[in-house]
Amino acid sequence: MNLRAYLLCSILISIGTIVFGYKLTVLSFPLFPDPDPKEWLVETKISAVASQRRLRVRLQIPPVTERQIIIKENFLSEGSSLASLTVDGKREVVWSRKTSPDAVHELIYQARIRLDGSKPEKFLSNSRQDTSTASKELVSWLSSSFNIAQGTLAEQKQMVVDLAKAIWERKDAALQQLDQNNTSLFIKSLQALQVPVESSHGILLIKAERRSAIRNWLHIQLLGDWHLFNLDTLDWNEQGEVLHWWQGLNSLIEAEGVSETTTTISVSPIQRNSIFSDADRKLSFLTFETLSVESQAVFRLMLLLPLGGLLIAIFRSVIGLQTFGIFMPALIALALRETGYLPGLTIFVGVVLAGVAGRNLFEGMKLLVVSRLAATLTLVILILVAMSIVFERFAILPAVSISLFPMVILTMTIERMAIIVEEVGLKTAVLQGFNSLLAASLVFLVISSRTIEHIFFTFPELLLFVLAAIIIVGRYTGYRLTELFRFRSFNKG
Amino acid sequence: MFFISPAKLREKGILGMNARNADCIAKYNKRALFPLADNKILTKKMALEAGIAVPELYFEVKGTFQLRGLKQSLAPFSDFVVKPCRGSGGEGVLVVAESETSLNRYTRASGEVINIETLSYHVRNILHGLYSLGGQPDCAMIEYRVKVDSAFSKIAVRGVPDIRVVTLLGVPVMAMLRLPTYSSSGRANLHQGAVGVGIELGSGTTTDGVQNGVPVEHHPDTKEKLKGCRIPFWHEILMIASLIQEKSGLGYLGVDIVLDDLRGPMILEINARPGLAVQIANGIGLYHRVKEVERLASKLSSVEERVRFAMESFG
Repeated sequence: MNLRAYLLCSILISIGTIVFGYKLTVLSFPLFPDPDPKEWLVETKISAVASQRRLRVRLQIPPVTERQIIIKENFLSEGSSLASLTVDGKREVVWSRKTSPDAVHELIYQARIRLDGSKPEKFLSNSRQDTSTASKELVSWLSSSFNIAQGTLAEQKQMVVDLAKAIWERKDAALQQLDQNNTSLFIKSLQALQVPVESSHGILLIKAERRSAIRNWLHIQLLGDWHLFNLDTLDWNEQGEVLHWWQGLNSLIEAEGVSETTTTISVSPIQRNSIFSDADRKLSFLTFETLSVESQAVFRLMLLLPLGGLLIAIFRSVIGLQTFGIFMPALIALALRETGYLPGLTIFVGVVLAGVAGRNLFEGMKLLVVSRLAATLTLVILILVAMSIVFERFAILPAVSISLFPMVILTMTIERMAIIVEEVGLKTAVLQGFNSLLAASLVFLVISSRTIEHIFFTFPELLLFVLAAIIIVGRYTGYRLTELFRFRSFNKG
Repeated sequence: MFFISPAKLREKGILGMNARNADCIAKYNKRALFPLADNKILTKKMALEAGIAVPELYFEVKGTFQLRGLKQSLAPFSDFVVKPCRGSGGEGVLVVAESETSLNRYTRASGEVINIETLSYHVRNILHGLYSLGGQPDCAMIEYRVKVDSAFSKIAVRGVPDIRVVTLLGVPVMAMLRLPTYSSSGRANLHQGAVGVGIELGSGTTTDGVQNGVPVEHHPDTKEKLKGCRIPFWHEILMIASLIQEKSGLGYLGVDIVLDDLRGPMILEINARPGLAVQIANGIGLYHRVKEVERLASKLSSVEERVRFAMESFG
């Protein structure tokens, strides 16, 4: 038994080392993530439900400029005719096809993009500025306090920030009568001041993401160059990580003959030394970079799960702390990865506390066990929905990230916790809850590291090492750390 | 000192949880045999076949359809215990010390008075697997309530003390007396606050005790001295432990035996994953005893020989 375990471990480690070593040295796969990847794979996936016999979907696609070069583009869709057009530097693709009502079609746009953030943005045409929309009140208010056309770039930039703050805060009495939409008032004010301004949409290329959020910026021209103004922070934005997608007030897609569309944009960095170069194409099975961006994102997550399992095994067998359930902390950690640490922790603690209270209420009604569990589950989902609405409202978290919370596991946690409170006492329950959070935080710390994510994504054979480590931990028969405390009474004599 | 070094633990021969799991349970307890220990009905059957006394099973509740007639079924008994068939760690045990069917009054061992509705809700929870291992549906058993032996009258509070004998390959290796306290609400499970008192295997005499991991010399409630109490029927208790082990086929077993004032020693339950607190209660490690038994067990051919060996070697 023992021998078999060690034999298996050495086989796993040998295979792992050979594959890992080969990829690292011969194929020179990068061990660490490119700190500043220049190339990105961007994928837009539209799924459209047809409502008529003909379907037409128009998608805005990123413009090609000096700072964002599109190396390769793919338009995927079965049986659709395709037209791409460029109008005034704006690029669009139109898919159209015959269909039948309620048929679901998937349209994919993939682009490999090289981003050079150091170059200034040039794609914007100097749009015609129309000052006639500005009311007299606005002009008089502006002339009393703002004059942007003068000064150095830094001074002008500061002036724009001050203007934005004045509009958003609305302290000035003169502002009360004006347009109540902050953004539109801000644009009108800039136009009245003869400052060219354009609304622009894009995404951030910072890390691999399964659902990239489309952001709205303003492009403002000062001293001949375009600068990016962030409407969320009311401050200037570095352009380095921004992929400009389209300008103007249009939406990303326009569809005809369609009852419903969902669009997801996913991004993934391409490593500098990637073997995804054409010369080594026959070796491409060794990497996941040929997969679609969305599958890549799933793999990134999946490949980290065993590491979470290993950490939990260490937590329980070597440290010796008891947690609620075996994999609950690992699953919570995964959810934390999507929501961010503090918001996720708040949700977790909130749901468990409210859930225990609700569960006790159901207990008081003497419900059957299965019904009580189902009722608790319903409560958990209600709380999650309520929290996600609140969080979305205050722009703390996008609502979708909460859907990753393991609801059934949360329900079982609540049930276990309530029973432990009743049977053993509050102290043990709180202690185990605290241990679970500690374990979840530990796993979170490891799996949220971009370096670790990159390493396992690039070298999945390292899972063999993880498996070997799990087996070794499983064969650990030494004392647990907590036992050094538990058996302390043997210290005497 | 708040901590003990691993080296010192090893020197004292303390068996850790991981070593217990890998070297005792995984090695000697076949998974297929676990139900014999986990299911108290099967344990009872097996004990009776081996000629060992158990608390009499009054009846079993297998489904919610039986709840309607629960009151009628309980009527003949003036006191009883309700238990999940596959419970663990004393969870879900409800002791009714005085049953007055006509008044719909059931007085628990704790003094709390409940009615038939609360009682059947408890049974229903058991049936739905609230207390069973892994939450699977379970059955409930209603059994004889053990009357505390007069030898324990001074140190038994609220509940029935039991004797846990840990046996390996048929040889008792260590034992302790588990005394319920107020803080354990009458339960004899150490993690719930019961006092564990070591027992010298040779003489059946108690040593000092331990509560919540801390050594104690006196019972926390009655202030009675724990050391030096002679356990009646000691030889018989060890024989029972060794016998049930042989019968069950589980190599590493914790046997819980109670002493009934009228009927003497009986098996309450057996545990295929006995805990390690017995070491703290006795102030002795299990490791060396385990090794000694592993070395010599094949030479001991009968229950008598094994018990004699244990009494001579692990005094």
